[in-house]
Amino acid sequence: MRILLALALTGVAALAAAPAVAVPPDAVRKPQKKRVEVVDNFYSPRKLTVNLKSRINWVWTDGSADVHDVKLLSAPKGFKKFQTEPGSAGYTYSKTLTKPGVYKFICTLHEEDNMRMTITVRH
Amino acid sequence: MTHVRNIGLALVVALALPGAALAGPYPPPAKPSTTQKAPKGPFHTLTVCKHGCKYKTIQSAVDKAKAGDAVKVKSGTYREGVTVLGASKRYLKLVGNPKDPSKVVLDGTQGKKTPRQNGVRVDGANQVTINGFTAKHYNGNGFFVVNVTGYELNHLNATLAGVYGIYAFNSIGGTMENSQASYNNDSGFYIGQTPKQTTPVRSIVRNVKSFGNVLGFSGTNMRYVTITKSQWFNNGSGIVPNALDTEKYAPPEDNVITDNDIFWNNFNYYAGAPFKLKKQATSAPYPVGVGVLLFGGRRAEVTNNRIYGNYLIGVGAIKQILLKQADAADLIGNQVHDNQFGLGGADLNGRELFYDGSGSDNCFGPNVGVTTTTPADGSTFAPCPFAGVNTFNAAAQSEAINWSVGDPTHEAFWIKHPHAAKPGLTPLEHYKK
Repeated sequence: MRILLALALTGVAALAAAPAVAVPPDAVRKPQKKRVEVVDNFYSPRKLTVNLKSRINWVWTDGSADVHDVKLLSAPKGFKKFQTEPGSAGYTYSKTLTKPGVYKFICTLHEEDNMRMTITVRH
Repeated sequence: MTHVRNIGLALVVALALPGAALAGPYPPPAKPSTTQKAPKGPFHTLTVCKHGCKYKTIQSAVDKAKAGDAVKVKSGTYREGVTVLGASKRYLKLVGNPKDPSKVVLDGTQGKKTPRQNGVRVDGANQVTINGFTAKHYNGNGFFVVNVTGYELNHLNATLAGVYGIYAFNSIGGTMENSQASYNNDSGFYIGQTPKQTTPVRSIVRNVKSFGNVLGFSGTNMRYVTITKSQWFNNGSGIVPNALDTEKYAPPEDNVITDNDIFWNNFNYYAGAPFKLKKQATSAPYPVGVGVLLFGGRRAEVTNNRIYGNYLIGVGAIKQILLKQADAADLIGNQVHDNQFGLGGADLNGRELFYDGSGSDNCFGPNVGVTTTTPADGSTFAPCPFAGVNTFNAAAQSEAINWSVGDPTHEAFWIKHPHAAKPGLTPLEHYKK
């Protein structure tokens, strides 16, 4: 506990000593590459938060014995909706999310099984 | 289904769990459009061939075609996946060689890359005809029709698809006929998620052959389907209407299986297959050696079929014990009558009939050639017609579940009998290269 406290204090001291520099948000939050697995019958992860202009790669893994698709149900204004081909294990699809906001996706073949996911894109 | 991979999974989970999680509230499902008007023309024919035609690919012709046009495809191998999308392509006719579909081939392979997903996919375009093609080596499906009212799939051959051979989903009315599906990683033919209709339009599956598939026919939550005058043989299981939570509109209802030959469905693909078994399939086993299995469902009529040489059971019926919609899980009003079992004693099934006695208004018989049943005392088999609660037999239900999950060989509960020879056909139990 004492070690932790010492580390914390060291950190505070270091911050206090550092010069105040304004860091542009874009420099901090760079676009990411994220993988989403498509399996029977869910996406993994189901929720994801990424930086603006991140590229999402949906990968139909060996756990995708059945056919699934990815349909963009709702998206921030100005982002064109899309729907992948229905595919099975081995298929991949990538898309860059260029607008900040919330994106909601479903598998149109397994809506009933609540196969859906949400991606939040932050500024 | 997942259709029927999930049947095995359901049976596995049934043993492992006392109950299943309930689904949350869900928006009402969308039905396919019934309002696309027939186009008035003038209609055009767009011709596709490898050399000397305006269109070198089928897709380029489809993209140019208007509603009601014909796309005629000359002999050759076309390495592409064709998409027919939306109402602007309604009533399109894709025509290969109906007399010899082997002449016009759609091939999904693309070198070392994962094969293309679908040979032909029709989505939201009503009354499209696909006639005279072979589709092979697609990663997903050979021929796939979804969200339509009316389709005609004729003279097709679908082989070695990663999932389904010939597949219709969330659609109202259509025909699959004069076609063949073989060695597909899931079912050869599949009709799933049929919307409920106040004035039902029947779908017809007629004069088809299905063999070497994990399932000959799967029907998750399908309704108003007549399967007739067809051959279902050398699959893991023959015909399996089933109720599953993975798709809308459970359970299957009002289906008719009549005048079919359903035989030799003993293909133990677990021991080897011409396709790569998917992980999910092997982790969720379902029984091999079944002619017809009603896995939940209402008002199915299985009649006037010839059912023989299936080593586990000829016709089985079991409650869908894990369905979240508890009110849709029971077998209700199903009839199995006037079938001929065992080919006059020359090619017996392991057991002609199995029924766990769940539900109500289900009846069996008269049938010809029934010699062995589960339960052995026949107590669950009320003769037709029958109204009322059936006699449930928990031991019989447990025994059937054990056929699926208690046998790593998938053959331990077979009762094998000699097959009668059939010209041109060889029984497939273990695949050899």
